[in-house]
Amino acid sequence: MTTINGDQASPKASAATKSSTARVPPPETSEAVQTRFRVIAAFWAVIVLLGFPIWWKTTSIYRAHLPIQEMVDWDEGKICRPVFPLEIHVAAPAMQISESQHLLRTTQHSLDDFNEFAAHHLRLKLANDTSASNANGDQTAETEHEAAEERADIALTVRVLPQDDLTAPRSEIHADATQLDVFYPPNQVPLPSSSNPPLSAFIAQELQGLYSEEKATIAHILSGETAGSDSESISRRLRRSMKYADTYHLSFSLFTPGPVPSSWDIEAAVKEYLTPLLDAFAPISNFTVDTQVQLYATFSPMAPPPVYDEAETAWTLKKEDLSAFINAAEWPLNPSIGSGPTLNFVLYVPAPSQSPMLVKENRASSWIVPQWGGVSLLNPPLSEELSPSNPKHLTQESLRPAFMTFSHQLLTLLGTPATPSSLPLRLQTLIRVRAATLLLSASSTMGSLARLTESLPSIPIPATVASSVSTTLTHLGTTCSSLRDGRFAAALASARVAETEAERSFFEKSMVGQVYFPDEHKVAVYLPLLGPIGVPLIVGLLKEVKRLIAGRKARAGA
Amino acid sequence: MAVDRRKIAVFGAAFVLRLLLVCLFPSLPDLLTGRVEVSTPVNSFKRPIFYFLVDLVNAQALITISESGQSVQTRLHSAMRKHIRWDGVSIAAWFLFSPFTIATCLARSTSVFTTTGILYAVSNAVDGNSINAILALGFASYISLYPALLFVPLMLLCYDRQAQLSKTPNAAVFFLQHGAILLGSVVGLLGFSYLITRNFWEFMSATYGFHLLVPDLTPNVGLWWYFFIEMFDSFREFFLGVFWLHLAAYVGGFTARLRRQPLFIITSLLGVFAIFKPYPSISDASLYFALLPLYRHLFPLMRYTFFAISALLYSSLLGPAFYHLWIYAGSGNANFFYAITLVWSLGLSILLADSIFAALRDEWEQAHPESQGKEVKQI
Repeated sequence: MTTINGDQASPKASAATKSSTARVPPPETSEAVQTRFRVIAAFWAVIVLLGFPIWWKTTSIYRAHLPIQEMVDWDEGKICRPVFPLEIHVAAPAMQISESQHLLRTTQHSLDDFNEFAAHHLRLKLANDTSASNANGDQTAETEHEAAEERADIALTVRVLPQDDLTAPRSEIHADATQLDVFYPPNQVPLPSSSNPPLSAFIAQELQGLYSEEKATIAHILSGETAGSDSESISRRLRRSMKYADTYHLSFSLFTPGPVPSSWDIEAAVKEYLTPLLDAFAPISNFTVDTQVQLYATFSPMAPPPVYDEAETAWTLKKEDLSAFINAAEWPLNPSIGSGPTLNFVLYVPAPSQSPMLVKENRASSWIVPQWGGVSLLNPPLSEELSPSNPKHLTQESLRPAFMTFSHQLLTLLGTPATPSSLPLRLQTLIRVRAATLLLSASSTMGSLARLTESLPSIPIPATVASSVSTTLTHLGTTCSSLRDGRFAAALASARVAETEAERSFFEKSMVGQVYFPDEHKVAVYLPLLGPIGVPLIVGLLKEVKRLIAGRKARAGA
Repeated sequence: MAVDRRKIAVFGAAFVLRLLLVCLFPSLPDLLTGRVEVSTPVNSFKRPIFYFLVDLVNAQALITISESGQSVQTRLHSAMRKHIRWDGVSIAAWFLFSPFTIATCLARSTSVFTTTGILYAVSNAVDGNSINAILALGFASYISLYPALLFVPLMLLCYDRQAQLSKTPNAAVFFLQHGAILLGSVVGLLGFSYLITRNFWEFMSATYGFHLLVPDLTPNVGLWWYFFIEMFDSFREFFLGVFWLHLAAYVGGFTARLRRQPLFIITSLLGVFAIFKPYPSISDASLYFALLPLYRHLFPLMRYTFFAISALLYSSLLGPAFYHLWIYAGSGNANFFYAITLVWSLGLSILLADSIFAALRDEWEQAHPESQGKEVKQI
């Protein structure tokens, strides 16, 4: 800038000084005037030819096109009405084909009569139907495989079996398989003439009972938070469970107030008691596990100490004091490690002087902390050498009850329904519930994103957001059609992708950063540097323009 | 003969001084290599003796430039006080014994190669070897990118020398020809790099992309790092453009205003680069300080030398101390060091502005001999 400002006097200034002072600077030569013109032109050429294009290019806001209407439609539920048709296979090996078909028809009929929630319905199918059609057609192995892909998940297999010494039908559910056995007295085979045979009514009622909780949960989720007849217990369960995450972090901690036990067979225990459960959860969520041992972990001074109960011969904690049991200030329980939310499982071994320890009201030794984790009290047998003391090492076998508790707590915390008793059925229910939750949450994220971009026209929309949105919408569509076809595992897989992409697009860094950046702030960004640079440049330009105009006028006058 | 003996003495002493420093303080080179004032992400490299020789080669180029007399007497301009000047060996000694040069040399900074390229471009230009000058500039530009901005003033220098020594060439043809040679030499060197690295775009983004986009904001004596640490991400590209244009904009202005003294344009632009380039170090300042004594005859016209030199000394001494307080002792923060780099840049700016003022005053006195020595007032 020195070259401009450090220049000699301009004609106007020299004219002004001429009148006031005696010492007159010599008049400028035309060469000097031309040089100054060139200098100013050189600076302005750089600004106009390079500066303005760079300014235009680097500060223009890129807004990728988003399918706003489609996103809003998803949010408002106009595109997809989620339905849950559960396919249930019925096998009645002892019956004639016609008899079993009749049984199926009548059972289906009474099921449909029961059902008042249309989105969730049970579709009965004869188990040997599909195998018969496959046997008749001469399909290759590949097309059979494809057909299996297209086919709906089998939610449940009902085996209807005769049993001689029965007076009324009874049922038995397998705890580790998706199978329900129904036993009936052989004389109760439904007659083709009867429209509502007792066996059909019994099966329908059993199925209805199996799926009542799931039906209520899904109805509760789809309707939003509107209260229904039994939605109080469901919303309570949903409140206790964690928000869905793609990956959960499980943290197992052993706390004890003394120096022992100082080691535990945690690796073997996790492998033996927990890994099968986590594997079963694979289609729903992933898990990472870490463990710690904390010795000399004392209660918080604020927490009421356990009280010795003569009747129970045990130290007892009051139910209302359990919330203060965890010494959050001193026990190193991290709220979150890594990306996913953390579930904490605390195994507490009381000091020998306070052993055994129980909950006063119900003699329980464990409880759940909603949306946080679970606590289990372990009272190992004390060794009586000099003074009573805890064992130094907790074996895998001694950890067994605690880990059974933890598994149960984990299921609850992840939102698994309490009924039915079969774990595979409960997990299937969870798949459907999670698919519904994710479908709704991704749809509502889409709606929020659409409204956000509409209401803030100044924020940029990077191309990555547009591609995330399109991925989300595609997968939402897949989820919806998979649900319609009864393929729930596939639906959940798509819904997980949709949810991840929806979150990514909504929380895009460059977009969020601009949300709270009003236009006035740009003054603060531009002025401190460009102001000082710009003033001499602009003043120089104005003077030069004035001189040119004056020169032209003088020439016109002459 | 006497001059030769002096020259040998200066060069020998400079070499021995460096050797002594390395022998007496073996940890000095490593210490200096780690200093942010000297070492930036774009100039670290190893092996001392070789660097001693490069310094001597640079000093030789300075002697050539000084002996051509281009600083006092150009084709279009003749200084008023041309009797006040230092001879080549004194200027070489000034360069060789400058603590900034020695620190750069011992720190084995690759900036000295850029310095060599620039000094050889200028020394060939004053000798009238315009082709060699352009090839040297191509080398410097290939290494450090920013010397390419010196093309226009260097061409003016070559053009003036050619006109003085033989005959006036056609200006347009002359510029196009040499522009093509510069382009050709840079493309040729890039071709070699491609043959060695085999991955052209990765090479380009790791070298010139680094210069242009300034991804590493390690503190240095320049003005960029702090500004870009503080800048909002969405404005980063824009201000990168502003900073680079700011650097480039001086070329046109200086060239137009100081057309009659092309060597002085180059000197002043080197001063501008030492202040405003993205990864400056004291080696850039040492190059500016090496060329400035060529204008010994302007020193009497300068007004703020005391203030400028005080600011430079103050910041050279306090800079390392404040950096230590910030990084090692932890009793200061980034603003300590940043404030000192501001003082450093301020000192250089004052020196630069003052020398340009002196050069303009010199031209003014030549046009108005009657007002020589009189008080001037800027209106």
